[in-house]
Amino acid sequence: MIRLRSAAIIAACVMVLAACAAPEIPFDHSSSQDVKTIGIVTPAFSPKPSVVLASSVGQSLGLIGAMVDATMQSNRETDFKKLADSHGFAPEDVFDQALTESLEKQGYTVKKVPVKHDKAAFLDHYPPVEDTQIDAYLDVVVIGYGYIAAGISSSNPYRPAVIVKAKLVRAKDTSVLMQDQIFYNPVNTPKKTITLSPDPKYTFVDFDALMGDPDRAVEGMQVSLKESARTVGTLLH
Amino acid sequence: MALAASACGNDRGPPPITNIAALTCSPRPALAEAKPVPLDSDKAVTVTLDGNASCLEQPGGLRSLYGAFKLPDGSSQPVLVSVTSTPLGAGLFSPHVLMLDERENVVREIARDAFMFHGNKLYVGIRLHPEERYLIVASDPQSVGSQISRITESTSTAGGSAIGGGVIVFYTIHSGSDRESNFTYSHNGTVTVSAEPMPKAN
Repeated sequence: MIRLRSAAIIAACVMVLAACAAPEIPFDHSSSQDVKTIGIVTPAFSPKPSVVLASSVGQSLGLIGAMVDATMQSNRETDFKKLADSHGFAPEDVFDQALTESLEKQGYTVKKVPVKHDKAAFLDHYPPVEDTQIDAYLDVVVIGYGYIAAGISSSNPYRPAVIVKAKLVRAKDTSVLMQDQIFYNPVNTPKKTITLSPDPKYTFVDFDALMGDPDRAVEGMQVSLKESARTVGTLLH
Repeated sequence: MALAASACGNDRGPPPITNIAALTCSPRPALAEAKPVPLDSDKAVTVTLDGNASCLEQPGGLRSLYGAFKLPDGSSQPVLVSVTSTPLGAGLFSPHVLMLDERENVVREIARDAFMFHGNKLYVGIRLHPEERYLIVASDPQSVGSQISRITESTSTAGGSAIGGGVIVFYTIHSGSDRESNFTYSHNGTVTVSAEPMPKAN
């Protein structure tokens, strides 16, 4: 389980992602042609979807307002997780499949490298290359996923959101070959982050509308996770 | 005279240029006036490419407007070169990049699809190779003219005070906004190039 609650992180990053932004390090395919087999280490994955109101009335009402907001958000997320579970939604599988397909499409051989990855951070150490026989490890952290609305008015609908960071590390010497962050539908443009515009098909005027159209709500999460995963793959082109 | 496409503007600015058939173009980029890029991210070099910009005609007759930059050399450490295209009015310069050596030969091309959005800007980071001395940012004729729509969300905070019954009350109001921006990929626009030592990963 990721120790920090995804909702707290996603909400915090909405406001201050610029401060959290890690350096972007581009992949250079021409100088990394020895990288043919990529090992995807088990991604760190937010344990449940977030449903975030980026601005609310409660924020104007001090500590009491914050407590009310936190309770309401927790209730929304509990309800939404039940909805997602009832539809057999498996975000890890959706993301993993899209990422694997994206890498294979570019000619890489992909292997899964099971590791314990229980923090919303990159791994400190990677398995010895002798054990895995791969050229580079792809370390992915899905910091949060779910839905976000910029505000409470009808002109600020809920749309899917995903925050991912990714790092490619050469297996033989642990040098960093690529590092970047991807934010599908950020609220407030973060620095040093790839931003993906949300698909307008998945727009819900309020939380009741989101809960009232479960098929489309789940599909919106799938689309946003797939698009984010494919973008990670594209970075290794 | 370059022809401009009609488009719904997001902000004031020149219209997007999508047709440069009437321009006089050269088969090789003119590097004599390439703008030097210091090895300092705080000293980025920005150019605005308009209908008077230099024009490059590549094999096959594809035409581009371009800006030329002289890259820092002699660095003993890896260098990150950043290229950013910023919206100009309703247009967004659709870039691709050519890297040239000191003999002015193209040694590498950074394709259009390597650029990713950072907000409404297009960005690519490039690891500089030792032999690369010049960088050409040229419009990508195959994507020019196509449209892109992007949704961006933001929040804001406003504060104030009110007086009533001899009491001053301070307050803040948090609100959100959604905006849809429509751009036409164009030959003209604003391009920024910077260079810096490759940052350390964390």
